[in-house]
Amino acid sequence: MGFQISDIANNAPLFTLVATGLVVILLESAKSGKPNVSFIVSLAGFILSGLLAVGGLKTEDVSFGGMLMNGSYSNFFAIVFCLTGSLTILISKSYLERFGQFRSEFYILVLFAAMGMVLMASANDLIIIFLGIELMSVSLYVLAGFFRTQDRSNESALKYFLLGAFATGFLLYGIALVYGSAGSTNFSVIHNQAPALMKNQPLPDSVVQAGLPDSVVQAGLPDSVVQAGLPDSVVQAGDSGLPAGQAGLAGTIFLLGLGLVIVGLAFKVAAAPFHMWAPDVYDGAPTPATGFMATAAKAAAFGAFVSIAFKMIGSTSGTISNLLAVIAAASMILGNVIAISQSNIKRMLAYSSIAHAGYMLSGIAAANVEGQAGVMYYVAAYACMTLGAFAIVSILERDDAANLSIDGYAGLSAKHPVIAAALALFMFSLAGIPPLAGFFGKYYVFLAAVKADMTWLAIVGVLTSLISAYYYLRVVVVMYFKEGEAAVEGRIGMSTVVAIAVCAYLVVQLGVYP
Amino acid sequence: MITFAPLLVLFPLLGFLFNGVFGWKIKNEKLLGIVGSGSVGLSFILASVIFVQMLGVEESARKQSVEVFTWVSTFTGSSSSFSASVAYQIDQLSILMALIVTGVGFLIHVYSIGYMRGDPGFWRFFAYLNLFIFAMLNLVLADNFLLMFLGWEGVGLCSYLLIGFWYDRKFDIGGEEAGSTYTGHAGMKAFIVNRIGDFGFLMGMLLIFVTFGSLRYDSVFSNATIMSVGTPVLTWITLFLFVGATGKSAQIPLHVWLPDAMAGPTPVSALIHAATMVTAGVYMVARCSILFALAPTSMLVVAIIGALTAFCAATIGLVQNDIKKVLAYSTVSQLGYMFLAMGVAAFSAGIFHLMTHAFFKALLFLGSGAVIHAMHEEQDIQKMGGLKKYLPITHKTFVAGALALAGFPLLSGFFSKDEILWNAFIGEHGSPLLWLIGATAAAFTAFYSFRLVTLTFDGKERFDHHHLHPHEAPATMYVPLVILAVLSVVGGLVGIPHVSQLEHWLDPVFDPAKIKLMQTEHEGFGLELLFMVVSGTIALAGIWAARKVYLERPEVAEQYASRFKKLYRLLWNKYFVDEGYNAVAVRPIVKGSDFLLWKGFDVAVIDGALDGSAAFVNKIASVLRKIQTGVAQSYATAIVGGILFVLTWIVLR
Amino acid sequence: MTIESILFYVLSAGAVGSALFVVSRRNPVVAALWLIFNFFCLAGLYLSLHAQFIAVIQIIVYAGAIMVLFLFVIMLLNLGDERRLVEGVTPRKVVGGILSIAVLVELWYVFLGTPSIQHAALGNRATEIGTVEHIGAQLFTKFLLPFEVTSLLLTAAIVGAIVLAKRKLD
Repeated sequence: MGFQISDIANNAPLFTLVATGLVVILLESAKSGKPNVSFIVSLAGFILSGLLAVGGLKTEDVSFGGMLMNGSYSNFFAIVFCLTGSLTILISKSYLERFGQFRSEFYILVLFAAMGMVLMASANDLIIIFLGIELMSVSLYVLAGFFRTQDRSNESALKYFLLGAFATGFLLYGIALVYGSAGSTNFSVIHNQAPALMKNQPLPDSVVQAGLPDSVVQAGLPDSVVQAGLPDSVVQAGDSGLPAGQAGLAGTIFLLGLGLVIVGLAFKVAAAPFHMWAPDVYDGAPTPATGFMATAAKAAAFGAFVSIAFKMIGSTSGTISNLLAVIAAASMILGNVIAISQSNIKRMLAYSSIAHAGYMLSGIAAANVEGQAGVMYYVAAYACMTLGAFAIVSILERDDAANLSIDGYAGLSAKHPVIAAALALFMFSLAGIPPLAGFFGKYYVFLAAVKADMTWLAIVGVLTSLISAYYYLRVVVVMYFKEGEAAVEGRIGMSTVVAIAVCAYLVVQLGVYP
Repeated sequence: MITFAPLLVLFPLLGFLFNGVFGWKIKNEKLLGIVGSGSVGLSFILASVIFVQMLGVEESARKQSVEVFTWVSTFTGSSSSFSASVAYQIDQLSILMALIVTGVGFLIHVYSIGYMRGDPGFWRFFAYLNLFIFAMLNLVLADNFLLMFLGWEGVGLCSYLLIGFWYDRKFDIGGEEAGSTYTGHAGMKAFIVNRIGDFGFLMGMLLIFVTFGSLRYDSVFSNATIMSVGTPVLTWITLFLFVGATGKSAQIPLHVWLPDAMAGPTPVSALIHAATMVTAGVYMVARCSILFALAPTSMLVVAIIGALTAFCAATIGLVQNDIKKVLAYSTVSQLGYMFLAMGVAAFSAGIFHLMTHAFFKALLFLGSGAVIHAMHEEQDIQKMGGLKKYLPITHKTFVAGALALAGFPLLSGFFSKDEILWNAFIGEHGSPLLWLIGATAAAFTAFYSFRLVTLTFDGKERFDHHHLHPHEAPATMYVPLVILAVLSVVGGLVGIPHVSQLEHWLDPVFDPAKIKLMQTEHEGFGLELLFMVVSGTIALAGIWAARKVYLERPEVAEQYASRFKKLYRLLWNKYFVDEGYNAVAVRPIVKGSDFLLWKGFDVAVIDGALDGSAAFVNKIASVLRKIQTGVAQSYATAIVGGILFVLTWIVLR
Repeated sequence: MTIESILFYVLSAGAVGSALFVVSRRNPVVAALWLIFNFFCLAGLYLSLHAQFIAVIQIIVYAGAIMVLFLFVIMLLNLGDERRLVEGVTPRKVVGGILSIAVLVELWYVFLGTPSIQHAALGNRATEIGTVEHIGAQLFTKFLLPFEVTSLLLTAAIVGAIVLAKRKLD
């Protein structure tokens, strides 16, 4: 039938996560009220899945009849998700305990979100992208509203949900338009047709025929099924031999569809002008969930973005590249400029995440190999430093949501020198100071932009990252150079410390030896 | 011995790790100080050994590079692979810089043991200093731009940390908007301005990589030699690099941070903001001399900026009253000379001046530190005077430094400055106008340096005897002063034109550039001698005028100040550059961020958001209502706007 | 004008009109009923495209199950006086309206600006494609993975619903 055993082996990280998620649900129903068990099982699941992903880095394969693409790319992202997922779990333990919300559902939702992310990054079909996004988003909506007695948390979840659904509508519409014009949702098929579509040429029959994914043909379906429907629309597009005018229309529709898909994904990565939800949602959501959203979810959206840009479109489209460049520039400028005036650290990090989305987008806009590698590196680097920062925020946050203001960090260096030093490290890395990870991320994407003759974009990027130094450093200045009463209430959870240490280690490691 | 070159860099790193990791536990200042200075001292010894060895080998064998490990290697499979190593290049230029950095650095470390005695942040101070030396050595010894950039950023970071070292102290920024600000903010200003410079460096580096496909000096420079003069991309690269240099080396218009940086402890001012870090820009231009040689426009820009900076900073120095501020502007001005030298293709002369300047300016700063120390943190020279008899050693060394700075004949500053002025006049890119600007600035230099000496050490005592009992500094402080004084006096001898070897020592480094410029050795020994005499006269005249005015007729200065009130105000306020930046850049960005973008969208919403009532359903309803009447719709509107933009973009493509 | 196109225009007009009523009615129950009407129009459109299965599902799941749930929730919540939810015309609404219309016009321009595509090959097989057997075969072969992922999605949604709605916080 449609799949083989190798499909499962190829997707071992995904299936590990699925199994873990289901096990945790069962455990929860079996021995209700033992979130500690869920904590450990989820953590183990993430680590196992991450290890399997490391093991799968070498094999390149397609599975499930061309639905998924496995290999270094998808497994790289799987590692990022497992890393951020396990770190999130580590951070969340003491945080949730402090707020009296230590429940297994948190871990279940993180696991399900991670499944969606892995699907997004390994997708080779728009349908999988869509389902992955939905799986991830549904989990995140709930995570954002996890503290359901808090107004902030509720507001955050509701806003995220409404706007998310709104954006998803456009994404789906875009997918439909792409399907309508290219005749398939499969990346490989679309990739073969994209050049012709974008040049408004009639689709040559040969391209369309060649475009059938091998795996589909080999899937060994009964003839009747193949004839009846499998690559039906593909065959149709070829059969009908569209006249030039109609092909032109198909090209425009194809681009419109792409544009809407980009809109949907830009919403998920919080790029301007689709970013407005991010500060409110990040601010209101429980801090570990915010960290997860800001890192893993963004990484996943970029995983899908890069797949679509490179595997589906290819690097031929000037229109799309320029569009992405404009969005990237807008995000960098808006995010960095607005971040300056933020006094709440979570909102500041939210705007900073918008800016970083801009940096990563410029790598995609560059549409070259350097851009792709740069974005992948950047995603990993960004995940480490931002998650680390949120981990520290989660330590300092108190019941009444006070102490989120940056001024509240005054004097932190005196009370907790190690934590202050770690936060300073993350801030320096976010500001892009070598030799930390953040610098090389920026360096690679800007390099890619310059190589793609988008020097202006690199200039915007470097200039805005100058601006960003201002607000990142302000945190450091406040921590070190101001008298204050910043203090941690109660004990700092061991697991959180481990998570911060891992992040700090990776930020330095990725920078010194990328 | 050259294979041990990485150890040069390693010693300060170890010192940093020791002091940084264990320092807070160790209360023994002696141990911390010995480790801190010792690590730099070891580096100095090693550098000297390598230097002596280099003297012994042939010229062609002097340049070597040692690779430690491959640092960045990625993008395999792409058209051009990107890689960089942690590799150190030892050649005539870099070893000279390393000697200066470690030598002067060592002396300043020793001095700091005395200066920082009893400070609760003693260990932190030495850790930062060692980290700084580590970064600086990376900067000068790197064999590729990426590693250089690492050092470049590293020294900036250390400078930031050290300026803000006494973060709780107030600090007067001076000028009309005078008022107290925290030293932490001065550090931040330094950092931000430096970031603007870094932007230039980064862009230059990106362009270099795109143009040459590599970041290694060797391949970049050898590829550059086959390009023709005036290639536009080279002009861009060099201009970007020069922006970086202006930031780091405090040239107009990015000079504003350096005077504020004086908020840091005085040894820091001596080490970072006079002797080493600020010269990084000069070093970088010298290192890339071949690129600059191929871009005449950039050369001209460098020369003009250098000359202007030398002049303007010298004029500001005439009226300042803070002992360290005067020295700070003097540093800016002297750096201007170095860039002037670079701009007129007198690379060796620029590096020569860099070296002598490191000696005498470090000396002056350390001397001022001793004065400040003795005066219990008083920095206003109007409140000093007559310190000669209390601080004899400091006085003598300080005068030696001031003479060198003023260009007193046969002292170190005289030769180096004279060579620059001579080249500015006669060199390929030089012009009499540049010479005139430089010479006028030299006269001002002589004047302000002896205004400083006279007001501080001579004349009446203008401080309160009952509270202040100035006393000479301890040995750890005055021994470095004496050593530096000797160097300031005799240091120039290595660079006497036609006699010494320094010029020829550096020749191999600058030859490719000189070939491109088709520079010929200038004949006219007699003319050169004449210029030396002129320079010497200018210096002597300036010194004499300052002595005359401030020793005998102090009222003259005030008369002039009131007669040229506008001019005085302009100078006192440092040409209003800070105010200009505030009005043009800082305020609009902050305000724009504040009101237009953030407050407009967000504040109203958040502030009004949390007025929910008790019951759960009502809460949901209030949130719902909030969303209906509030933000979510405007967010959605923005999304639709974005979609409209995207679609229009595609339709109109 | 064929009978198909007449049917198409009637059903489309019904769908658009009822959708407008859904968002403009103040009484939630009335709005929900208009929504049901909208679903029926869409089901009719599906039928005219030979997609019997989707048409049936549309009616059974949406108009049947989901809408009943909607109505229950509306009545249970007992929103009371609906005038509380009324708001005037705000600048934001105007801007939003203008932007939306602009998007609509743009899409219109693209779709109507050029002749329509004749999906001849597809048209012939359309009857076949829309059948239940065909959809079933597709779901369990080519689209097996998406189908299974949907189950994960639903599980996540259920967990989420429990988190948000559980009466007692433990």
